[in-house]
Amino acid sequence: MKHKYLFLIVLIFGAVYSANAQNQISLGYGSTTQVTPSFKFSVFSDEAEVGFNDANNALFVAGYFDTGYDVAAGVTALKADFSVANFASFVSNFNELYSDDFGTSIGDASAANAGFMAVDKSFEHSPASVGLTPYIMALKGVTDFTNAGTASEVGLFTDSSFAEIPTGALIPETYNLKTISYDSVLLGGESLDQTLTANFGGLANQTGNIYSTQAIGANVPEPSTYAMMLGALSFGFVFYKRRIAGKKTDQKQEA
Amino acid sequence: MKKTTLVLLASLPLLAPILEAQTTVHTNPVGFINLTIKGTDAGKGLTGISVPMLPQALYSGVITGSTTSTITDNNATWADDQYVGLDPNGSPTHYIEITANANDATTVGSIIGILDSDDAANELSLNGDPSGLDGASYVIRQCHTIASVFGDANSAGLTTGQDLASSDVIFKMTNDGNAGMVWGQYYYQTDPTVALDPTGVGFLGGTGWRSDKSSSSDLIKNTVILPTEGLIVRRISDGDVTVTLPGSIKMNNSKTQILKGYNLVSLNYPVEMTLEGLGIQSMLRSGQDSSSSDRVYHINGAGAFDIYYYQTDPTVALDPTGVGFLGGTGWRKSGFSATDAKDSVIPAGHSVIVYREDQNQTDWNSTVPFN
Repeated sequence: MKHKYLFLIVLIFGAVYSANAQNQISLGYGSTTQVTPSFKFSVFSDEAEVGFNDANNALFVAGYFDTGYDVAAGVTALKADFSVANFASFVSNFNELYSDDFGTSIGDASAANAGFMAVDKSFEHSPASVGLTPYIMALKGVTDFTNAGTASEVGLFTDSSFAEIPTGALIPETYNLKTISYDSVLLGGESLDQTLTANFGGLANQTGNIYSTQAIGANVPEPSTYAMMLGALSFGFVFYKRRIAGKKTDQKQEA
Repeated sequence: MKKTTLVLLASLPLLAPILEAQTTVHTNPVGFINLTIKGTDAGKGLTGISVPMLPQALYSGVITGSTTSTITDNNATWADDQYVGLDPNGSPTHYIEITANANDATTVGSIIGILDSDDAANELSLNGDPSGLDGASYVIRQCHTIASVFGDANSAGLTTGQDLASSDVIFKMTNDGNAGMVWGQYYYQTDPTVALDPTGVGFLGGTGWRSDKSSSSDLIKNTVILPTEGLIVRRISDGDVTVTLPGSIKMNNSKTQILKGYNLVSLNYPVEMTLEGLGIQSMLRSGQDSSSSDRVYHINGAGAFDIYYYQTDPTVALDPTGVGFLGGTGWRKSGFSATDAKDSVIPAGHSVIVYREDQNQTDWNSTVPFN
């Protein structure tokens, strides 16, 4: 009988420690360097492929979307109408795990090497994020995530190799989201194996994978929209040519 | 308290002549301790360590006057700014420790950082309140640093990489006094791009000791480790690493500040201790189970936490056996509420995390565990 009570107590203790545990993670995200077979850097830039730094600043966020939010559908809807209002609505579903800007506040290599930003930070994170898919978001023109809706450009990236956000522990659990390339570019662009220009400061002439943001407030049509527009233009051109041809025929007949 | 054997006595004949020749003002015994940091083949690769060997004493004297932020020593021989410096976190690089005080023995072991030294006034400015310490004997030491413990160029042999995630990590904990804590992370960075960078530094911030605050500052190696402070090292590689740490052995009692929440603390003396021998029970909240008690966390040989608490069983009088239905009163290990854990051993050179619920800070006063 006494042992039954002890068993129950052990169970209760286990539950209590789970509840009391600190959810500390040691998060790493952003740029990294491939050493073999040859040197390559992953860098971040604006739409014009100018590397972010203190003069061309952006907020660099690791985070996750609300549970149940359909990210793919949200991205599709945003691309169909990339208005400021729609972007503000979209980004309201995104939550930061951690963020830092490309300014000199991070103080490190990135200040001289525009576009190269590697963040390593340990902190206690929200239990609401546990088990969710992580994303990396770049927001040009803001330095605080509370102002995310006012960003002028955005990039959104993730990779299938990223583990789900861990529970964490009293001693920070390693959680590494650094990668030389992302296999999912949801917003923004990707230019692989580029020879970096002077737009990337000290990294000029090095090889890099560039992950860029795209403008907010300017509609970026889907390929199907381009096809429709091309069709309409072709139709208009044919109509115009036939009209010109008709006029010439009439002039000949009149002559 | 269990009396234990000094692990370093055998080394004394070798090191004592060297170190004592440099120590003109203090005569603590000297020696070394080997700190073993477990690899991932032994478990999770986590080890809690202390730095119990003290740096050489730079000065010792008697306090002849004090205010809330200064002490005066009329016989002082220090120069202006002789013991002054701040590490990258803004912590003083030198400290005074009270080694004896006939007026108030409870102050022995108090450690206060030095902010300024003034030779004309024979005065030290401190970052704590030394008032009332008139007549106390004290010693000045320079703090250990990341570089002094693990080697300026990582002679300890920790795994190095291009960033924190690819390196072994040394954790320092800061308690904010309100149950919150911040972990500082330190690692030895090997920058693979040094040869590519025309400046010769390396695009990743260069090679050397770095932290989660800076991947490029060569000053990180000067980060202070206080003698009361514990560290946790996380290895990412197989195989143990041994750090040999020479220095003096503390021969006076110790005083460690304990705040609300988690406190990563040193064991102060280079000997193994039992849980009961820590003398920590009186400052911890004791309840009928672990959730209603303060706790002591120790990282075991497999890199996992053993969690201890002092259980007070309210049912002892009800139980005909006299033990108590909840497992009795005394030190317990989480999950083993009926097994006495007071003789559980904390190995020499290890650290522990003390979790304390009470908002009011207190001091853990530990006595010298050997004669």
